[in-house]
Amino acid sequence: MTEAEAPHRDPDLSPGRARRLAYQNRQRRRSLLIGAVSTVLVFGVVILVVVNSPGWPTVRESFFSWEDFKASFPEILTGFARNVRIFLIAEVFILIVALILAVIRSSRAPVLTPLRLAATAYVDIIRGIPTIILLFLLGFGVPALRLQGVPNSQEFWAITTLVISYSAYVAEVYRAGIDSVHESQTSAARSLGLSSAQSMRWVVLPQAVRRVIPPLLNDFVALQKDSALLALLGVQEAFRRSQIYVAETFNFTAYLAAAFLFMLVTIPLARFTDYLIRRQRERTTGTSV
Amino acid sequence: MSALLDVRGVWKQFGDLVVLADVSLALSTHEVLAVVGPSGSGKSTLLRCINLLEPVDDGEILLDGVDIADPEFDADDARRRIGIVFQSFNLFPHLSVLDNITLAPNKVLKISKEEAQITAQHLLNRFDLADKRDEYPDRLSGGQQQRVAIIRALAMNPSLMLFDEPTSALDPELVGEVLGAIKTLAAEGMTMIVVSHELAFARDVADRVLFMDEGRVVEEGSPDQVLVNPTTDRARRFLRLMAEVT
Repeated sequence: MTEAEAPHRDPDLSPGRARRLAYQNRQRRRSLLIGAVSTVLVFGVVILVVVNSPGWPTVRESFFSWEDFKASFPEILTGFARNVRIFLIAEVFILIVALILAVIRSSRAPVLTPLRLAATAYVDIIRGIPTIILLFLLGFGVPALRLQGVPNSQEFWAITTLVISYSAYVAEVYRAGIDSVHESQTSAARSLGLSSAQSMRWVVLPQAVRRVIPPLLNDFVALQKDSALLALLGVQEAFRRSQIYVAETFNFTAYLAAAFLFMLVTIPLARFTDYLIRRQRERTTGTSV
Repeated sequence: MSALLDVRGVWKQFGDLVVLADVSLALSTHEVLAVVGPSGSGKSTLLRCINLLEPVDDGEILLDGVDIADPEFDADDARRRIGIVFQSFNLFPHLSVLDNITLAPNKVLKISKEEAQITAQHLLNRFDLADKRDEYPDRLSGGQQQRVAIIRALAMNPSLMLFDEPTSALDPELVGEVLGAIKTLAAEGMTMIVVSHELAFARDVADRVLFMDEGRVVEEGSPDQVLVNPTTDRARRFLRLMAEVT
């Protein structure tokens, strides 16, 4: 098979082509200008209103004090290192537990019926309980039992809570991915002699997981923020540290410092997720609109 | 001579709709059987039942004298001995051409990756696709994808190949290369059942032709008998319609 030469265009612009390019450029400059002006206008008005409000001097003092930001920051930063450790550990277990739950729920093998019912009940119940209540139940309840051989550290139970709670949501994300792989893929795999477990492992799951990476990252962003809930158990993470600072100084800037640290990790990840979603859409539809 | 495949009185129903009604057919080794008929006549379902992708409601499917449709029989074992090529190719989009071909030999037959790759390479050479081994399915034309699908099935070294309208999803100019590949296989003595609307091809490649309508085998015989001088009204009407289209 010989490849025909692709159509080639003369680099010299025809008048018609030049006119189109000029028009496109004008359009692009116009939309940029409109975007810039409206942004400046909207934010300008908001800032003016806030700055001219009667309470602004006090608020600026207690929320935007550079002195307090600097003073509280080191403590909060070491606390935040703990958040990072917690959400990284939790995420690893969430991804594993959720995948197991999703595979169990998606399987049709009769042997797994009791497991499937249990997994369904688990997902329903856990998704129905506010994470904060679950955190109190496990974080204060289990250590109080003083069971032999069971860890009593609150950090341990806090991570466990996050894993239990998030794996129920993430399992549903995986399951949506599994359902999105067309049946014909399973037919093709089975027709080659692969067992139903092998088809799941080598054909369905690789495709399913790839498709749900953006929503998985989305849940990971949410998890990072929810690691602040651990403050309620007294775990010395960023939010807890800022609470302590606020209690000592009656200046709220420390909260802002903690929020700043969270944004530092969540915003880039959220942008990256958007980028992946866009790329995926371009791949599947071939367009960038 | 005992048949390689012996389908006896197979019934299949989807809800109230009877798709296969008492279908029987026999196929000996090296024989090529073409199945033709209007859409909805049960041709594709017949192939899916033979490959046990659909359980039959009643009847027997003997492969080498063993009833593979018996509910007690290990379906995976039967499927690895029967290859099927689908209308819509159904390649695995996340795997390269080479990995598409070696997956089942490696996981099911437990052939080492290296050995499976050598076999795959031979097959790719034979079907003129050697330069595509590292491509992903999305980057291939429909005709190339279907030839890869044929190779993927052949890599399991099946004793029977089923083709379910293998050219129906292809652009007209790509039909030839896939039919050519099937013809090569027929010439090499592969036992096959081909469901196709390409009547000229069926006449050319098949030893026998089966005409199906509304889930029944209406006519069966040599290609000339069924495709040129059919005895039933229904077959004649169908052939007249097909002649008008092409």
